[in-house]
Amino acid sequence: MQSQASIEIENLRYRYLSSKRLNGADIVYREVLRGIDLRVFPGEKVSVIGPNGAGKSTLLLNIAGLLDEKYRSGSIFISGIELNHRNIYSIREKIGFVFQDPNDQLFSTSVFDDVAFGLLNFLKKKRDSRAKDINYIRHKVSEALSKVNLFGLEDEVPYFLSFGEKKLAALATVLSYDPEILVLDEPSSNLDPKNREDFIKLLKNMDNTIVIATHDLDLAYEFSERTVILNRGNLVFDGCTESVLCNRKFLENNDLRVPLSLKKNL
Amino acid sequence: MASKNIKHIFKGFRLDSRVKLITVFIFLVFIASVSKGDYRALCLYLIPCFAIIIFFRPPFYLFLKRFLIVSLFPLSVSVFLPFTNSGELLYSFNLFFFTLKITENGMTIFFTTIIKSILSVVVLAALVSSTGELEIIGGLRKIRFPSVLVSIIFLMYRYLFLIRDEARTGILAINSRVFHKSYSNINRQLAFLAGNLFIKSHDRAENIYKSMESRGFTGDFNNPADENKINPASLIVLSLFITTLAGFKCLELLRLV
Repeated sequence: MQSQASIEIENLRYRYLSSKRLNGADIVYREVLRGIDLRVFPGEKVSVIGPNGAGKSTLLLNIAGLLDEKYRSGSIFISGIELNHRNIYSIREKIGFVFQDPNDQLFSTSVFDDVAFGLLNFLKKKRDSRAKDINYIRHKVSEALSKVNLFGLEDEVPYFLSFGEKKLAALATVLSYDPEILVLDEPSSNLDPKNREDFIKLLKNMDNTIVIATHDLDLAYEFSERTVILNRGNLVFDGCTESVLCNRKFLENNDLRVPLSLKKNL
Repeated sequence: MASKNIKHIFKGFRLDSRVKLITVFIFLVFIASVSKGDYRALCLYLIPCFAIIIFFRPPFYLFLKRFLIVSLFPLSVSVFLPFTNSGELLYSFNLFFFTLKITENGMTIFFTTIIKSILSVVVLAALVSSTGELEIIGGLRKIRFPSVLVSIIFLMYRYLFLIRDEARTGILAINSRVFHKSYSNINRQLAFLAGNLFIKSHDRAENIYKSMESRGFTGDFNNPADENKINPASLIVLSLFITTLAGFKCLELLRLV
């Protein structure tokens, strides 16, 4: 018998409000996710790939419950609990969402404050006395920063960090509250080769369930054994990364290309 | 022995940001409460004003620059005061279509406002020139200033950098494609840039809010219990300052000055 899925998505549809006339008569929606079914099991690492506008980021934002529920249909279960407006805050503790641009994630005046932000929110919500224990908070912040090799940068101003350090600090902001699931949008974007390699290594060594959305097919190849391909809001593939990334015809039919690392083998 | 202790307390003395904030706030309240036309009391407050500059130790040129820039605002606002108040007529200018009247009451309010605002700007310039922005924000948090207001201030502070970056990128993009640099052309492009900055900052705000929401933000900013102690020298300065100001207020209320 299979264990309970970390993420379970059934017939997920999501549409954005595209345009609306003043009298409200003509409301036009643009459907970006069209009946997605997906199950991700604990500890699994999954890459979501697809061309621009395929719906990758929308899927991730839906998993984290960050999009308006009224434009969504179908259901999302996180560790067996259905995601809806009543339990959204208890579910958010299970998910660490890392945005594409770390400047969106780091808004405080010190790295310490940013990393402690989520942890404090969740502890205060649970009326946990550790929220007032500065030593505990410091310990958790240092632990999260150590995991991403940024130990000692607690007092730095996030704005003045290098882009690679910002990416790592953004990851630390969610690691501080130990989420079961990590969801990362374009984790390798704008990173130089060394930082990219370090970042992938770091993610691969984590025990959490991890879902990443990326354009970078080389990243998908290096990072996960399982890949999900989206195209125009449809889930067109869910299976072994290597087999799909070697299938030139299938990739080209879905506006993708064989990654450079595999090109020479084909 | 006592002098040794005092020397030790004041060794490498630097006022705590919380003490600076409280000092400035109290000074501003006392200044604002001086009644109009009480020039002697206002002159008395020059003493604590100079004391603040001495204790805050702002870099002189930075302090002067900030003071001169900020003092233009109260000057420009209060320039209309002599003409807009009723009272005994001092002068009148008969212009072709209307008459400008300067009243004694108007002049009194004008001078009081100018002196009060200059004193306030001096202490505020001393505060911002001698204390880093982040230190001020940290100080506000520690003195339990409403966390929402502090957060708004530091988000604004952060946005300044982001908007500056976006503006720089936009200006580079304009410069790279504008070959005919007439004023009208550049102005039109700058107007587009301003509009673009507005949209980008809206997008950025949405994303930051989402990132906060994803980390359990429900509207309350929670701070780790940061209970740093204020150094004794700062406390002594604060107590002396409050006592002096209270003394000045008594003199003012008892009309002894």
